[in-house]
Amino acid sequence: MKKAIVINNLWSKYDENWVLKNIYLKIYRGESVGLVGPTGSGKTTLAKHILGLLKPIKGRVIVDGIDVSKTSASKMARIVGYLFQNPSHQIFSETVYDEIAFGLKNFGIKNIDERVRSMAETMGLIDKLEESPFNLSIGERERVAIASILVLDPKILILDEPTIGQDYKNYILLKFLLNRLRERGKTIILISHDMELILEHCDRIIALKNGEILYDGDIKIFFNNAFLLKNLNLDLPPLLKFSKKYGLNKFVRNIDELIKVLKNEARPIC
Amino acid sequence: MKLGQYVEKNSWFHRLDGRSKIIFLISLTLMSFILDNIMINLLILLIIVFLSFSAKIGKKFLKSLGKFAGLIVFAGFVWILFYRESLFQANKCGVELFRIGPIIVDSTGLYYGVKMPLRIIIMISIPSLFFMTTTIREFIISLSKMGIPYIVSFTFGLAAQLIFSLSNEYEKIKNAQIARGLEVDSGNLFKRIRNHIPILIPFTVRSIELADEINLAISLKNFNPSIRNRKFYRDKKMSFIDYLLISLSFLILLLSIIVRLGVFHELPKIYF
Repeated sequence: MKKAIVINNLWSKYDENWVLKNIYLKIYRGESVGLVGPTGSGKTTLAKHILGLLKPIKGRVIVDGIDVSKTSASKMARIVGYLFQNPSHQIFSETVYDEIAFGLKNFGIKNIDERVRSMAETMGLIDKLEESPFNLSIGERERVAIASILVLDPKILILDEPTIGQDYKNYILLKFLLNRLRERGKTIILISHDMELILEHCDRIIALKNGEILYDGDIKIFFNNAFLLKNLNLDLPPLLKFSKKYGLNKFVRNIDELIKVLKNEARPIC
Repeated sequence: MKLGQYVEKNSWFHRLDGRSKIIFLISLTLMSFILDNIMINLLILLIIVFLSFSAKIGKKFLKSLGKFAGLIVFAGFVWILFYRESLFQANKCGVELFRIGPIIVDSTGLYYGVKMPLRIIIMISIPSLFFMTTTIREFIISLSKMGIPYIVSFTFGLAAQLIFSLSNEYEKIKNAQIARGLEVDSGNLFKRIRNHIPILIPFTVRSIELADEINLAISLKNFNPSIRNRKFYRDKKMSFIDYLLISLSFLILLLSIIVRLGVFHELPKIYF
């Protein structure tokens, strides 16, 4: 497997405090990684280093073979798509069309119209293309923000708390998009406190605490380690709580899998 | 670290009452304007730097002040080259040193090229030193205790607080646009200005949103600025050093006025 991200001995500082300490990491192409940890543990800082918005004080960050410290963040944006928490932080264009096309124009990418319309179709925004993004609901604006990143077709995608403030429709759409991106072999880094989303879409967990990696490994082992979860101020997702309470042997990651297991393991009550 | 952002330290300057700090720093500012002399301004700057080190924030203070180096150097060049076009220019032109096309560089230009940037540094560093050693809460209480109506003190405090909130918002918006390939700091001056449009529009929107959020938060807490004899939960009492500093401030002001009125001999000029 080819490496998408290699981080060697990364140290990052804010004011006098070390935000990241001695980070060694390898993320392979096509991997879906959940980046978890308490607030202030350094998750967003690590993600910003991957995009190149922050430059390391010590150590190296190599993304898709490029040394991030020697490349501008705006150039790295062609490889790494970073979805920020608040859509209001990026919307400025007169129409939804222009907003989605913004990144494509910055990189001088051809067939803009085709790509914008295709992305708008996927995101359910096709009938909103000529509208002002400022007149849209928060949920719709969030979809515009996601579309404007995905339209660039980045190899690596970082989603920073993508479920905050989302209604059910957007939440389902996000899950659908994540599945599609995984099928297309994209490398995904999901920063979230939503353990249900992490459970369903990530194969590997990187847990940070006080700027250090506390755990890096398989998701199943992670959710079976109660001490680690407690240490990270995390709780089991409801699905795992249910399967644990009723003694199900199989590790389930979504409702469909749970139903399947229940059907297989169910015993008739006499 | 942003210039003017509070730095928590246990120093004598941090422990001072906000009122004595305000009076002392205002007296230094007034001294700079009343005496209007490069040497005096340099002395004031040295006092500010000394105070920042004694407040244990010296390195951070200088580092954040250094961010304005470009602006200060730019201001210096503008004054050297174009002081003759200034609206407030009343002095006679100095000795011509050299010409750059139609622009004449003379001794008065050089004098202004040092004096004005120095004044800018003082104008930036004095409030910065104050806010780096005083919390916003303390600032509001101090103004209020100095007899300024609470609504005015509160508004000043809120405005000071908003500067940092907006600065954070600006940073987030800039990062979000860079993440979509925006080259903010490349190209010529006009291109750079044009590149800032995708940042300035969301920034304006966020500023309005933020103001609205604060308005709502204040209203929900039933904020009533017209309450008389307001009590403060964390009340500081003036110490001996506070009184000493206030006395020193008035002495500085008095001496500055006396010197300005020409009671003593005129201050030595360092230029022609």
